[in-house]
Amino acid sequence: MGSILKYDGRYVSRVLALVALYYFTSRLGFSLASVAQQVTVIWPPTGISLAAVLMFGPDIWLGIFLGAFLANITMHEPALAALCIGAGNTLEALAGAWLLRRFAGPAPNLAHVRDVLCLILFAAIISTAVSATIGTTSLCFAGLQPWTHYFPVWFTWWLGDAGGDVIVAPLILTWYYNPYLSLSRRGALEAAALALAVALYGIVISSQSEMFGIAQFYPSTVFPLLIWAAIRFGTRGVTTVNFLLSAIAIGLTAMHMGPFSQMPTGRVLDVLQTFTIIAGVTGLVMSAALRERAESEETEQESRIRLDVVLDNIVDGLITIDEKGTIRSYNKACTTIFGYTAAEVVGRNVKMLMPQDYAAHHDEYVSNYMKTGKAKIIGIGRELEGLRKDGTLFPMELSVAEVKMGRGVRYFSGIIRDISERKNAEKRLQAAHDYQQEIIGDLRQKEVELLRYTQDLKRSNQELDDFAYIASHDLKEPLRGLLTQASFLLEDYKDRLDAEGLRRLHRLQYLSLRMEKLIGDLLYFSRLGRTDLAVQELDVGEAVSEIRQMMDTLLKEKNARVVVPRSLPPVVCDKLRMVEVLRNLITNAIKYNDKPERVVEIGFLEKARAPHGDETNVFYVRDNGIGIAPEFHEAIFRIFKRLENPAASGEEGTGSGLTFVKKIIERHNGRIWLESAPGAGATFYFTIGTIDI
Amino acid sequence: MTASYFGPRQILVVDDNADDYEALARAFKKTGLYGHVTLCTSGQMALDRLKGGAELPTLMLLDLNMPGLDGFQVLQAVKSDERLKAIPIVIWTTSSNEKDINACYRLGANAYMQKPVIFDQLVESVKRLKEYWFEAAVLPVSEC
Repeated sequence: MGSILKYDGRYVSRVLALVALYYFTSRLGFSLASVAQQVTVIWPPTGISLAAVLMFGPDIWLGIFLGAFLANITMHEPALAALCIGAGNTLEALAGAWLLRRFAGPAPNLAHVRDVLCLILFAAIISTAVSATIGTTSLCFAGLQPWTHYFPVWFTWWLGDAGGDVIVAPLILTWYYNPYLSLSRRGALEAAALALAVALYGIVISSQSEMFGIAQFYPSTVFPLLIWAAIRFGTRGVTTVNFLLSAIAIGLTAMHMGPFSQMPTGRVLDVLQTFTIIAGVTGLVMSAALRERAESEETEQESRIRLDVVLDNIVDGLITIDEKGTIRSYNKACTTIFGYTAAEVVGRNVKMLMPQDYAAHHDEYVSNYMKTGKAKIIGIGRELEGLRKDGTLFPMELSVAEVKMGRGVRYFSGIIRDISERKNAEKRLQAAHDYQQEIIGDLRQKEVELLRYTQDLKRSNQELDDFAYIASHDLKEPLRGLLTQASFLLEDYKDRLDAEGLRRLHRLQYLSLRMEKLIGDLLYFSRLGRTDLAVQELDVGEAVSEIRQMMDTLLKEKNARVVVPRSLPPVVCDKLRMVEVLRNLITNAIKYNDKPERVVEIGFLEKARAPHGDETNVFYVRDNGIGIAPEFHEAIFRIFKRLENPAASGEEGTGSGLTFVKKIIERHNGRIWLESAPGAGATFYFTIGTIDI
Repeated sequence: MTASYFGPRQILVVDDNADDYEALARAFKKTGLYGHVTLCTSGQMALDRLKGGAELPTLMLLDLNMPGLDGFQVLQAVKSDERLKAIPIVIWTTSSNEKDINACYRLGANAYMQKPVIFDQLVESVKRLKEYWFEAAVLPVSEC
């Protein structure tokens, strides 16, 4: 128990108040005692004690004990019996409260069905048995009651205590746990109406009239009042109304009025009390059940709101329809997608969001699915067209899930994604792809054409080469005959011809020889085009040295120098042909030169860009000669083209040297060009490409 | 095998071009070989003479470009004939085509000469032929 110091003034005042309340209500009960003087069926103290322990804790036992002792000792009971009864009542309250707390929770405010059931079972049925047993036994031992009356006394005791636990304890507890009354005006009016109805009930049952038929029927009229209280005012309403009704019934019965007063005396209060307990329990259970229902509805509402918040924040549209296609939910994203607000579509058929042709079949699809279970869309996802509020169609991706609710109710929930952007991108991509294919097709065709042209060109080149070869070959025979005849003429008729005849004959010989040379060049030129290149790596510097040696006589004669400023890179080429190129260019540089000292420079430009070509080494042959006017820069490469009279330069040539050079360079996939102006010397540039072997 | 076309140190010239032959004949005269030359103006004629006679020429000058049997066919016929193949054949032609040159050597030609354009050079060439084939060159005995 601990130190007495723990119990402050508040505790003492509570104990004293409890003792007083206990004593007062017990008097009320005893005044209605029928079976035995010390035993009554109306026993509010039990309910008060239970509520006190639940409200203030087990320490309040002292108040219960003192109250019970006082109540009984004043009923002329022996002190020992009164002590025992007091102890029994105390034990009853403590056990009931402990069991309630243990099974219904620390604060059983009777708002839940579980609280109510625990109250009935543990407090009203079990704990009361403790008090009834101890009390009845004490009375019998004390000789105040004969043992033969043990059971009726026990039952009355038990019933009275149970009534206290069912009628009084809930009244106190519900008001204790929820003491605040906040009624609206309408609520207050209704409360007043209910109170009036309760009063009316009292008046009607007290009238004892037969105007409403069988009097026994009247008690059951408490139920509409209890139901009203339960529905509109909750647990507190029920406990209050129940308490009032019970008080009215007991009061009237005590005054021998009301429907119960007509029952056999002695048992009347038992029946009344039983009825009151049943009505009270019904009211309590009902209000608790209603409250639970309301709570779960509240929770449901809350979670629905929470779900709506979640759904509204989903980027994709989400629509739920029922079996008939009626839209049940429609989230915010849908508003963006379709243009309709939720209010405009919820409750209407989902067909309004589809293009006509699809909408016409939607019912069919749904009913077909309901019958066969064969889905064309459920769980699969498809690309469809949606219809916006403004009448425009847009591509969307729809995936539908079936939601089975209880009792075979089915919903379909569809997730909608507007894929206009993606479709557009796909379209653009497709267009680009088509265009690309078109271009590729064109290119292929061009390639084929080009290949054909190339083949044609190759063939015509080949034919040309063959023609040149055959023609020049066949031209040579008669020409040789001409020369031979001229020789014979000279030899055989030398003495008979005069000087003029001999000169003409020599001229004939000269021209024939010249013709023979030209034909030879033509033959050679055609051969340059026909024969394969013997490709190898050539040390260009070394080649230049060799050429210098070969041309030694000419160089000395013309007072010419061939200079190489820096060592030349090697080149992969046909050596003999490349030497011919260099020799030709050097010869020209010396031949068409009027300077006292003729200088030919051979060098290269590293990785320079040739006109219309890739970067590569560009070789050059530069002279300080007479130069070439730009208008002749192309013509000089034509066969047999000579820019001046051979007599002027004192040189004789067929004019095919540069033609050969160009042909050789071209055979090496290279290019040749020049920079020159009259009097400014000339620089011939050339490149050597990669050679296909 | 009664007829004998070729005496000792005989040269068989096969050429359809009269001008060329005339020049060649004059060159032979100048080198003192004129009496040793036999001319055939077609390939068929040359083969007939070679196959019909007991004696074989010391040297054969063969033109390539001829109507009827051309020089290549004559060359092939001679070089594939066991009896005739020992005759040294000098191809005597206008062509300087490498393909022609290679083809001739593959078929067994012993030399390839381009007909000189200038008569003096022709005389010079014939002198060389005479020096080489009549005086210096000795063909393997087994093939004679």
